[in-house]
Amino acid sequence: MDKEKISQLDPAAWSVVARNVLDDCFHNIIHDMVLEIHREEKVLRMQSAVVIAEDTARAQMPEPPVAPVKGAPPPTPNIRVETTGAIYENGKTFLRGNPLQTTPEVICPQCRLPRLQYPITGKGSREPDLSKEYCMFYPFVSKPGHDIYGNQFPTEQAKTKKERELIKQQQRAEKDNTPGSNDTGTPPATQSFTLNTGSKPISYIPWQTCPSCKRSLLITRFAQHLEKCLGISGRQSSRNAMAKLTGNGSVSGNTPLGSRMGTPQPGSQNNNGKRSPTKKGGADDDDDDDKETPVKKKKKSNYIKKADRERLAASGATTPGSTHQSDPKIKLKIAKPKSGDNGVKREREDGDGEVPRKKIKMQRSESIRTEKTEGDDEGSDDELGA
Amino acid sequence: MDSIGATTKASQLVSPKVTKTKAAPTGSSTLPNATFGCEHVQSLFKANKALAKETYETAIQTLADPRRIKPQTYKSSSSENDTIVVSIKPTYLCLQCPSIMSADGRDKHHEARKHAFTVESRHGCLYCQFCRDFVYDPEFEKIRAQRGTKRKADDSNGIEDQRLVATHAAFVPCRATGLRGLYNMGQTCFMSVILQTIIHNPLVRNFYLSEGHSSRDCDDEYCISCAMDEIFQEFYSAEKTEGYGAVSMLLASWMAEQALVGYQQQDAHEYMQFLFNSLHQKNGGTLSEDCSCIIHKTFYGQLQSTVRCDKCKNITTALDPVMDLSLDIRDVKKRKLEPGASKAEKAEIKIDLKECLDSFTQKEKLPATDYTCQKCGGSQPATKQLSIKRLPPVVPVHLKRFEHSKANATKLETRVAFPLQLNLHPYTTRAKDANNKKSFANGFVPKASPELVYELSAVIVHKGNIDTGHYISYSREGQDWFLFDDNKAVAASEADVLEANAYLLFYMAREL
Repeated sequence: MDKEKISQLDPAAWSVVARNVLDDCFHNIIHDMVLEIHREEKVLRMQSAVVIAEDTARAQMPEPPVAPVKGAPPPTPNIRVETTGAIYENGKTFLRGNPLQTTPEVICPQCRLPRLQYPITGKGSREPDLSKEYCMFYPFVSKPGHDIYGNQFPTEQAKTKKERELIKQQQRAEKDNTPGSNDTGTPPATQSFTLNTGSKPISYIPWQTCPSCKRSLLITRFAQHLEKCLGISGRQSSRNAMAKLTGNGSVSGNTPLGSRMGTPQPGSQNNNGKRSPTKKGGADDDDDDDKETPVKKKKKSNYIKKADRERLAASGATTPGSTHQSDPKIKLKIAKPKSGDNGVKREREDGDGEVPRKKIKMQRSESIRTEKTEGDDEGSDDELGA
Repeated sequence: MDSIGATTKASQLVSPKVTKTKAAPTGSSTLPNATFGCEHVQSLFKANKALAKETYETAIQTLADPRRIKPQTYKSSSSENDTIVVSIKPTYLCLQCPSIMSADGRDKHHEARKHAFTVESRHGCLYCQFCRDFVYDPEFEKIRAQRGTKRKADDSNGIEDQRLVATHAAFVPCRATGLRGLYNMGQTCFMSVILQTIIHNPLVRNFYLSEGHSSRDCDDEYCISCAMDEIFQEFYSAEKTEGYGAVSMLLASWMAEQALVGYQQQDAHEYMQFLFNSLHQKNGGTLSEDCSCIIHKTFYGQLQSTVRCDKCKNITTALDPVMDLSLDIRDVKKRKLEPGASKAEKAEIKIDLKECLDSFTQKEKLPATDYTCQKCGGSQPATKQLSIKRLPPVVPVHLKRFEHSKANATKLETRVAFPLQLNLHPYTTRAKDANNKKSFANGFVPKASPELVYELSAVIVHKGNIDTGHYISYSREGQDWFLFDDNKAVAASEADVLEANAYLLFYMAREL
């Protein structure tokens, strides 16, 4: 009977039914979302009310006669305290009223400092009251060109050294003009005030000490350096050359440069433009190193520049004797057996043998091409800094 | 305890302010919690706590029924005649009597019967008529979290344990949320994206944060698991937000795998397989099938391949262990394209992840040359079908975008649409078997098929072409999505994630 009834429903009624079902579904979706947020917020406010009550109680509590022994259970004050949001009684806290109304502020249950309620910048941001100290868990920032902590990305990935220094100088000058504005002072007129975020800017690149040669280098160049430092780059370049010879025609002479890019930017044409300045900058760095510690470098690094090789071959007697050099190599020996590269490593151990052996290897795999790739490698080394 | 020691040390170094606030006696280091959800629950418990908890548990169990007809049906008591209404909208179950009501009926019920507490039918939250609001009582919430299943009670909430935790634990800094970038050390983004995915995998994270592998007790030099441990400590206990340089991980990877060595780009999928394998070995992995290492617990699944001889109908099955589902997109795309499709159409075609999974688990014909039947002997044509025999808690899905033929290697840029929630039940061996049976016996009405819902937890995207490119990843923390691009951690929306041209997808079981 019911079935008949349904089939007799006229189309207009069906459209009402369909509409109602859809409405109810939307109702449910909204209901679910609201309830979830409600729960999150209310639990936080409940905790905040408790924290306030506990802290008030602790403030009223007479100082314990003996300092609590480390490891002993914390003392619980046996007093009754009433705050707007809760009642504290003998170590337990009971809520009073609805915490959503009684407790307007969210207090971090961990560090017991108020939580910042709105992002400091970007979507839905509000200017915080800078006179207060906040819990370090800030709402995440959602703003184009910024990370979740509100740090701005460097606009130009590859700025020339000059430009960077100019900016630095400007910043320094600004800082001098507004002394003490960093932490507690009033925010500058522009919206770019800073709360103590304690974080480093995105452009900050840390230095890393190479575990092999103990040299300090920018972390963005670490893989590249390590490859050389562990003495892999020769083999790698020969492999690249082989791929180039046997492989696809699409790989033109330019590819090695491109394929060595660490993080290519969307606009790849730009890279071509930027290539020369970065390369130059990078080369400068290398030169600096050489000037400062020419001898030291020879001792520490396994990788020896072509130009240095002859020098080294001449003064070969001095190099293996140094204690610095033996140190990283021992490490390598321990680690290497797994990789099966042991033989090569051992051969290279004796400093004199290195140069001719490498050459033989190169000759085996198309001498002219390999030489060229090596040149390319060195040229593209600094691409990464871009 | 080592990690905690490191924590306090790190926070001292970074911000003396936090240490200052910490030095103040905080009473206990467990979270402060209200004893009751509201004053009215307090009086309810005072009257009869056991009864209140029991009725609430019954209500939650009623709601856990997947059919949900019962809790969604209420009597609409208009002035004269009562009508039975099945509602799509949430209903309210009275805690003090067996009535079920709509939101309006709930208020009337309170006026008439003075029953103040009702249970909302979609999530089981308690509504208090005095507060005119939902209340979240710690005791009730505990029952609600079990979702009607009789799980063994969580023992960790004993008073004894609480005291132990209070005296021996310290809070991690509020800022240590695990949301940090990883510095690109020079073409190491393939490593960063996989690490970010693992860092935000709750199962692996809990393993490491509960000292699953302590670098202090490990003697291996260049141990990958120690490097992982170090990363987890840095991410979840240090109050830093700038990127992290995974130097020890890079070194350990180079030392362990020849193919990874060198300043060059790698395939993230290969790195993932390598990392899983290494972590498995370093965390007491065994060769047996029921290896209990964290990697197997999290990612280990089984594929069943069923081959049926076309002549004698003999069925042979084989099981294959898998750590991910590698799905073909080329054939799916080809099938979808009409023969005369123009180039523009080819470029624009969008396929769905479900189509890839369908294609992966569909029946395929094996030519006689490929199959020799053991029963009837000789080469016979056969039908082969793959299905998922065992689903792991986390399913990595690999879309085969990189093609290597003899002549050259190419990347397929075909867009693959993927859902935030994925039901994997249709691709399981059980579902396929049921399907096959159904086709034999016509008129058999299947029950509502159970759902195995997996939620998207991470997406890895490769930008660029086959030779050179860049990897970025999206990870979900709770309900929020974040984009990790080297050392940048950026807020992302669900729409951003769904628009991404994914290479690797990670689906996590909604319920374990």
